[in-house]
Amino acid sequence: MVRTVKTKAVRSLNKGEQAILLPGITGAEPWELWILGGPAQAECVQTCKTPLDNRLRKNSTLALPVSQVFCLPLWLGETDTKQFAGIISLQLELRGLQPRSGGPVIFDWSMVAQEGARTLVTVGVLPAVMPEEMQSEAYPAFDLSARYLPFAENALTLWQEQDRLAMAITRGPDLIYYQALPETQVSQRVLQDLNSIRTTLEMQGVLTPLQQVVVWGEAGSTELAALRAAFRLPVTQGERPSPRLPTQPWKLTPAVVGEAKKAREVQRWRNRAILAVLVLYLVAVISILTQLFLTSRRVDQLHQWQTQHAAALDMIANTQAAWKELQPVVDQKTYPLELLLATSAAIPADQLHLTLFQSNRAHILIKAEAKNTAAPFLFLKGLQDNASLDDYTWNMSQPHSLPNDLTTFQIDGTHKN
Amino acid sequence: MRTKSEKRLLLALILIVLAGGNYYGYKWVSQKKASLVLTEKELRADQAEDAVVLKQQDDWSRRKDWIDKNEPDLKGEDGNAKTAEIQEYVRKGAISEHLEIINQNLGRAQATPGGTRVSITVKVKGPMKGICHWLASMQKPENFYAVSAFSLNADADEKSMDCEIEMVRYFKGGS
Repeated sequence: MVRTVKTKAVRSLNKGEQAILLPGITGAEPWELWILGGPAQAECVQTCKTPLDNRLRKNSTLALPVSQVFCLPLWLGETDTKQFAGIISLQLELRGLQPRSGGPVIFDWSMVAQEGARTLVTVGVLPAVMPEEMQSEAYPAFDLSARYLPFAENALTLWQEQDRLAMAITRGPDLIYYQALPETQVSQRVLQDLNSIRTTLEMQGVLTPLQQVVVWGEAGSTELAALRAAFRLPVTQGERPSPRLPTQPWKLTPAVVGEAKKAREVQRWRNRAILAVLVLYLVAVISILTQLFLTSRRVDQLHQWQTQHAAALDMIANTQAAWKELQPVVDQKTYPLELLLATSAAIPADQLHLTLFQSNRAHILIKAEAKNTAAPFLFLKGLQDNASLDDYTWNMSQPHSLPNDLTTFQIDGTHKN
Repeated sequence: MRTKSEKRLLLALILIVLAGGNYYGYKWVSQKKASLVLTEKELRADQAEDAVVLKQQDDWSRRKDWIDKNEPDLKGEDGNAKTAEIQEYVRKGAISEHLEIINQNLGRAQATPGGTRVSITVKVKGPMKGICHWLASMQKPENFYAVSAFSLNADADEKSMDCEIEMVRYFKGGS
């Protein structure tokens, strides 16, 4: 068989395209990278020695060879597809297909036919131990290679997979059984195995009558004749056709890969949580430091403002102090004659006369003699009502009556400031 | 290679150091911030107060200019202090109003924020009218003369008055 294989750098996937790593025909080219699902036909873009050589592995499905996936066709007494997984699991346990490690068995299934209350399914089961190269964490999905090949209806098909002979049987258009055969060519032993498989499947009521035998790849006339003689069916030969996508992919992720992915996912979430905490911590630290910095800056600005205005404030303070000291010079209200004049204005006419008038800025002392007892109070009221003397608070001691009918009294004025 | 328990111990040590560092770091930052906030409040209050004062800057500036321009120098052109001038000024005033000078005491020059303050205490006796004229003539702000205190006491005969005044004059150069 001749196939054009691109060896140049693999292009990236376009929208709607899917990459599949299928087992190759020969051991020399054990893996083939196919791109399916695009507008063009399926295209083999790379051959690889191992699945890790696939440059598109992060977006590819690794189609496991038939030799790595055990096939079990089952009649289930159930039509509710939701129950199938549980029933199949029990059937596998019944047949001793549970791994000895006690871990979960990895399987997937496809529904082939439904007859009354029972359903025929094909189950693919992964072995507990697999070659390490096929348990690559780099692949997001794992499936079975035979499910990607377009088999003829009601046919037994033989083809080479990694230098090993593989067979598949279809019931109608659906794949019902597949198996890797022990030899590389159609031998007597292979024929016996095929007959045995066919008989077993017929006894299980799994098979519909086969209509043909198809051989993909090179086969000698004796091999074809032997097949024809063994099955008494027409035998056709041709190249293995290009793969096509199954209607529903299987999920046959090896346990090791699943656990590793789960562990990685846990680690990823843990890392995200640590990162989130770290980011929150940093945001909090930056926020606190920013507040500190901004406050410090505002304080600096206020200090700067004070420095800028220090000279002006100093000048004002000094001038205020000087002005206060110069009060006797500049404040007319404190002039002695002004105070005396204002005091005289408060004297009730012809009722009293001053005997003493003392003044400094802070204090005024007035002593006087009145002709009657009412005059001191009128005088006090006159002082209190005088606007020129409103800087002073006035207090009068109890007037004292003299034997000569005069009344003496004393009034103190205290400056409010 | 470290064992698992060594790794745990190392992690615990790192966490303890981090927690301790954060505790003391946060404590320091909190104290620093509280101190800064307090300082800021004080400075803002000062600023508000100073802003009010600064609004009067022009007035105070004019007053300062007036004082600088008009306050007399302590020393005359001959280089002698003018403190004795006040004594002469008071005496001449009293004589011109026919007042009897009972006593007078020249005080010591004193440095004040308003300049060098020179004072004299004078006691005179005379009629009320003459005393009033004399007091009016003593008050000369343009020359920085002022009566800082006075006492007016009616005499026993009630025809004359005893008047004691403290006269001050300010010169340039104070504290």
